[in-house]
This record gives sequence, structure tokens and C-alpha cells, in this order.
Amino acid sequence: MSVYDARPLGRRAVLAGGAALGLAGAVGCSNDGRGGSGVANDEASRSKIRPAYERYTGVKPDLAGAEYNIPDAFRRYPADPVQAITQPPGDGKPITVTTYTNTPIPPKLELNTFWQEFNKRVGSPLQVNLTPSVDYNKKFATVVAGNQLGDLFMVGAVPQVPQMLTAKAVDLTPHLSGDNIKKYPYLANLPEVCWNSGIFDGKIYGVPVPRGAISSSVLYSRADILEAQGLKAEVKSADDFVELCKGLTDRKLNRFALATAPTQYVRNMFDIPNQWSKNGDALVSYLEHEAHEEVFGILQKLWKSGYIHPDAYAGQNLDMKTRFANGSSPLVLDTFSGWPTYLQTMTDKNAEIAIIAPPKHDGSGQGKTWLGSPAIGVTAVSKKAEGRVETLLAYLNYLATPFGTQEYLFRKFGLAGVHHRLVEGNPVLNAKGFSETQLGLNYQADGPWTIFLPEREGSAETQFNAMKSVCPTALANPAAGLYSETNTRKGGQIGDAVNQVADDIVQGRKPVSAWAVAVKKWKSDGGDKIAEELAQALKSSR
Amino acid sequence: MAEADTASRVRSTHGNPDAASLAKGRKRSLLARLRRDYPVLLLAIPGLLVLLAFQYYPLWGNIIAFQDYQPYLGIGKSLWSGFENFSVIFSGDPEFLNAVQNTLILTLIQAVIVFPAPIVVALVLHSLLSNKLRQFVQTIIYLPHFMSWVIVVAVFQQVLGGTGMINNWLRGHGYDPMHIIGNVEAFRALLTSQVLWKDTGWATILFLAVLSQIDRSLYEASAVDGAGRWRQTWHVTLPGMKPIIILLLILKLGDSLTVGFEQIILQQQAVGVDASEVLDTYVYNNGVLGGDWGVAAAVGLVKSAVALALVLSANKLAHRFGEEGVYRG
Repeated sequence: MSVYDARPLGRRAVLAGGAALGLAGAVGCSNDGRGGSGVANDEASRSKIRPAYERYTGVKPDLAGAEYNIPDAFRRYPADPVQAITQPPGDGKPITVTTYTNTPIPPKLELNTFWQEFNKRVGSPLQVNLTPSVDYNKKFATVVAGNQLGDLFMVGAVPQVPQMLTAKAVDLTPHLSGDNIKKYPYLANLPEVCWNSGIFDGKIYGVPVPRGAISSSVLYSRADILEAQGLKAEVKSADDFVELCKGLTDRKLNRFALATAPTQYVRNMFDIPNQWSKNGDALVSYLEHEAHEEVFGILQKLWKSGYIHPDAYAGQNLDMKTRFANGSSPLVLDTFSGWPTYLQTMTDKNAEIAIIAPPKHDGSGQGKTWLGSPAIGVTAVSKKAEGRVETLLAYLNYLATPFGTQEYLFRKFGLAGVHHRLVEGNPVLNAKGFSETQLGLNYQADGPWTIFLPEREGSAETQFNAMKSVCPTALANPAAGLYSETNTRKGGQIGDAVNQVADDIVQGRKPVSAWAVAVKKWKSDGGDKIAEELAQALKSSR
Repeated sequence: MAEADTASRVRSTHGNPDAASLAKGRKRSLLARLRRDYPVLLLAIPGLLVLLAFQYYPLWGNIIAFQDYQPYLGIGKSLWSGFENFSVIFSGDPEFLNAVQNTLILTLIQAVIVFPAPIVVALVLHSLLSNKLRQFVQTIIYLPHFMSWVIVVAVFQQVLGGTGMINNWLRGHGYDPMHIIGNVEAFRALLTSQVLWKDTGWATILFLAVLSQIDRSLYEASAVDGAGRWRQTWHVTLPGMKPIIILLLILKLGDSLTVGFEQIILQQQAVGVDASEVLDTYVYNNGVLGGDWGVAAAVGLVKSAVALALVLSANKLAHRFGEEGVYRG
């Protein structure tokens, strides 16, 4: 799959090694601000308009994941994929899209055979405006201000999302509520829970891009390097982990165990809740968890000993991928959905990827990973394109065609012989295919995630088993998909501030005791208000 | 009576022929000058349009400093909030004060180190005897000016970063690496050295041009009077450069609160906001990132007002010392 899909990490979150996922809503770490229910969004009004769910049953998975709440896995692409859509969805007029990307920008249309073929199949020329995910919210704010939104746009985390959507987006309720959605059968195939983030004030304003368990952040390891060092991809306690990092670090070779600070991973060792924990009707932020002093103790040790890449705080999101791919950092924290790209961009052909599940810090069992949110975002239709709303929904329906169809095959792997070669019936993307298919399609609409890793025999099983071992016990964010105005307005800023303190502590610029002070400030600067608003939203959503 | 009148008029015309012809000339001049200068004026139109479109038209945007601005509503529909947005400035918001403090410190460093640097370099280059050598050095020190900040920051990262050239070598040979990039204490020095490396060479062009304008005979005369090199520099070269130095200093004052937005935003994550936030990044982080557009615009507006005041008063001051300044008003 030509998909790399980390959640759009915020500026600070990248630095904190993804520690801030979800906290800093306004900088795009989470889905909290990305959509979700408004104040007037109770279950009663939601269920009235909620789109019907009709599961696509055209393919039978090799490994079924439903039981574990993880995606299905496939070893082979079906030999005769069905044609899911007979009529091209387009109307001949250009479709403009504003969204983000996590991969390099594709070659321009004239040089891009995939894009040309895509336009032909869609029946409308696609014009994409792609922004790196870390900068998307900034870009989005200015695009809204400049009135330059595309016909379709990924809703960014900006203040007053519901009001903004009322002003700028088409109300999709008449087209998608209840059985109306059956006109777009592949949108009806999207998991029910992810629609939460597309429904505001009792109206459907967006089509969700589903992810769920696949966007949980975990610790990737280069099993080949571990093996060469005589180390095992298994840790039983925090001390074990530090030992492993020690064994992987080699100053003379300029190799540092960790590409970024493993803040979230260490938090997982202490069962720190995923963003929020419920306390009766109230929500308590994970920042207030009492184990943080110990967490920082471990992280300080890792940093001081030089086990974390020295440029961990000075680089970009993509740098950490490079460090992992070229082996200069054999451990990296990333989402499960990053797996295909790691396989596709691996510089070392003998590289093996394995997940190291977090242990309990004291060695008393397994720690708890944070479960990814049901949707990574929602795509809305601009009011300017109101007259073409059916065409645009048909286009999104095309992009949501699931695994096993011809459309999916083409969308992710391009044309046989041009963009991919067939290896035992499986499409394996080549370099041309990898670069040309990056049109941000999977950040416009997508089918439910499927584990399919044709690059390497056995990888699908490896990932499936890794997810099976981690996800069923993973902690969900009770406020996922819920909307808080204070969170979109100030969440990013105050989240940045508290994460900055975390960075300072890890790097030894501030004492561990500074954490409590920073959290207190976070609470009074807006954190308490966010908790209150989300608790209210949670209450009315029940 | 009429005669006397005419006579007096004639007399006055006689008494001040210049004024008369000037008055006459002025009346005619606009048309005449238009006829004479229209090709030049036509040439100026594109530049004027650019100026209007990108400098004057955006000034309207300052309106949002007085609004609770929401991008999806636009300037037309956002609610007015009077001077509420300015309260950050007057109530002493700690983040704002931090940004002001960092800005002023950087401004001071730039005034003391960055501004005089090209003057010194120009003097040194000017004193080089070999023309070839001078051109060679000039070309090399100009080049970094043409690199964007992204590249400059990346180059510094590659050389001085944690896994940069120097530190890789140090580690490879068993020494302890140096902590430069990402080190809060070294941040200002880093910023300053980047600015020096990037723009000093370019800024010397102007000074070298001035140096070549200084009358050779002055040097000869001073040599005859027994002046050595230092004396010549002090009594001939520097006075010759004074008008341009003052002009640039005044213009620089207008920019003084603008200290390297792009340069800093690119490196902000490595050292954190406390050490690196300046007014421009504050405006960006709060406005575009935090959605507080009104507050950000208010801060930006006040910043511009202060800069304007600085330029005007510096210009006045220059006039008082008998210098030309930027303009005569």
C-alpha cells in the first residue's frame, strides 16, 4: 500500500515522540478538535440522522480481526478483483481538494502517469492542494481566511469548528442520513463509530476517514539489528528497556537506539490513560497522572546516557523515519499504519521490522498501549461547490472502495507493470509507483483499513499478530471524537507549553518537579475548561 | 491706481525674477513634466502596483486588531471588540513580555555586532592591495546571501548538530560531543553567527561602493600631512562613509523589532519558546496557530507603530546633527 499514515502530529508532539497525541487538539495531534459532537449533539438527534451501516462482504480475510477490534489481514490480493463502480463518479469539471500529506509531494500531472490515469477513471481532473500534516492546521486557518478552500477539504482543527462548518460547508444530512447513504455503498461500509466526528449539532458535515486501532502508536524495532547485537525484541520491565537501548547504542558508529524520545511508550509502561480517564462523570487529564515523575526519571536517564538520537528535538517528522530506515536509530515510536511505508522506503534490504510491546515498568506484566481514534479526520464539501455535492460524494465513495476491488488496487498500487510488479499475484509498488501515487487520496476518503503487506512474505502475519497482542488491552480515549471549543481554541497552545516543559525535563534543562507546576498552569490556562466541556459532551453523547 | 498696481507688479517681478518664473514654471510644469517624463512614469507603474497590492492594500487587514476576528466570517462579519485585543500589551502578559525581552536582546546584539560587521569587512577588503584576491574573497562571502533560511539552518545543523560533521568526528575519535544546536545558552550566539555568515558579505557591497567614491586626493593630502593608515581611516574614510552609515542605521531602526522570523521559527522547536520567542513568532504562534488573530494583529500593529516612531525620530535626530538622514520632510 502506498500509504503512510501517521496521525498528523503537532509541532511539539513530534518532538515529544508522539507523546502529545490528542492533547494538543489545535495543532492537529488529535481528533478531538478535528470533528466530533457539538454541544447540541445528543445521541437522540445523532441516531436519527446517523448513516446506515452496510458492511461490504465481497472478500473473505485470511486473518479476521473483528474479534480483536483490529483490521482484517490478507496474504494475497484477490486474483480477480471485482469492479466496484461502473460509472466514473466525475462530471468532467475539475475537483479541487485541500488536504494534507505525510509523504513527499508527487510529480506534477504532466509527468505523472498515475495521476493522468486517475483523472480518466474518475471522470474529472483532480487538483490537490497538499500541505505536510504538521503544518496543516496553520495552512487551513489561512486558507479559510483567504476563502480558498477546495471543493472538498479536510477539516482542520481551528477555533469554532461547528460555526466554521455552518458558514463554509454543505450540510450533508439529506444525502447521507439513514438509508440515504445507500446511494454511496462504500461510504455506508465505513465503521459506524467514526461518523461521530462528522456530525455537528445534529447535522452531518463531513465524511470520516476511518483508522482506529491501526493509528495506535507503538515501538517499532529493527529486528535484524537487534539480532546482530544478540538482543531480543522483547522487554519485560523498564530496566530491561534501558538495557536494550544501551545494547543498541554505539557512539563510534553514530548509532543511537531511539530516533525520538519514547515518551508515550514509557507512559504506556505505567498504564497512564489515553488522554483522559473517567472519574464518575468528570474527565481527568493523563497529564495529572502521578507516575509522571517516574516516567521522566526514565526518560532523563535515556537522554543523559545518549540513547536518544541527539537531533531528536531538532528535526522533522520525516527525519525519524529516515533514522529508522537507515539503521542509525533501530527503535522508533510510530503508528501501526506506518508499516507499509517503512517496508517501501527501507534502505537496507535485509531489514526486519518487529513491534516491541510495552511492559509494565516493574516487570509485572504487559503495559497498556493507547488505542488510535476511530477516524483521523473528516472531509467536508465546500459551500461553493453546493451544486455538485452528489458528484463529490460519488467521488469520495470511489475513494472509499474497500480492499479486494479493482478501484482499491488501482488507487493504492497504480497500474501493473508501470507502478507495481506482480510477485506471486501480489502487487508490489516500485519507486515510480511510490512517488506518483502520493496524491493524498487516503486523506480525502478511505475504506476501512486492511493489513496487506505484499512487500515482504509474512509481514501481514507479523503485523496482525503484533496488533492482536497489543490492541485488545489498549486504552481508548473516552473523549475521542468529541468536540470542545476551548480545546480547538487553546488546546494547542497550552499543550505546546506543557510539552515544552516535558522536553526541557527530559533534556535536563528543568528538574522533574517542574512538571507539577506546568500541569497546574495547563489546568488553569484552559485544561480544566477542556475537561469540563468534553465531560459535558461525553455525557450528552450517552 | 491701476498703473501703480501694474508698476508694483512689474517691479516685484523684477525684484524677484526667480520666484516669478518658478511660479510660472510650476503652473506649466505638471503637464510639461508629464510630457517629458511619461516613459519613466510608465516604467514605474508596475512597481507602484506591486507596492499598492502588497504593501498598502494589506494595511486594511489591521482592522482585525479591533475585532474578534474569525477566519470563516471574514473582516466584514466578525464582531468589533474595540481595544480589547490590546490588553495583552498593556496588562503585561508574561508570554508577550518574554517575546519583547528576547526581541530587544537580539536587536541589541544585532546593532552591536551585526550592523558594524560589514563596515569592518569592507574596510579590510578595501585595504587589500590585490584586486584579484579582493574579488575572490568578495564572491565567496556574497554567496550565502542567496541561500534561503531553510538551507542555512540545514547547513548549520549538518555541521554543528548532534550528529553533524563536527560531533560525528568527535564521537568517532572518542571525544565528548559539543552541544550547540538545541542548546539554550548557545542559541543567541547561533542566531547571530548565522546572520553574520549569511548577510555580512552582501552588506559590504554598499560600503565598498561608498569607499570607492571617496576622493583619492584626500588620501594623498592626508599622507602629505603625515597621516598614517589609522589616521587616514579615522579622518578620511569613516567621515566619507558617515552619511550612508547613518542612512542605513535609520532604516535598520525601522526593522529593529523584526529579528529573523523565518530563521527563528525554523529552529524554535529545538530550544523551546522561552528562549526563542520574539515578537514576530509570537504573532505567528498566537494568530495563525492559536487562532487569536485579533491579539496577534494588535501586537503586530503596535510593533509597526513603534518602528515608525523610531524611524521618524531617528531621522529628526540625524537632521539635528546636520546629516541628510533618509529624507527631508
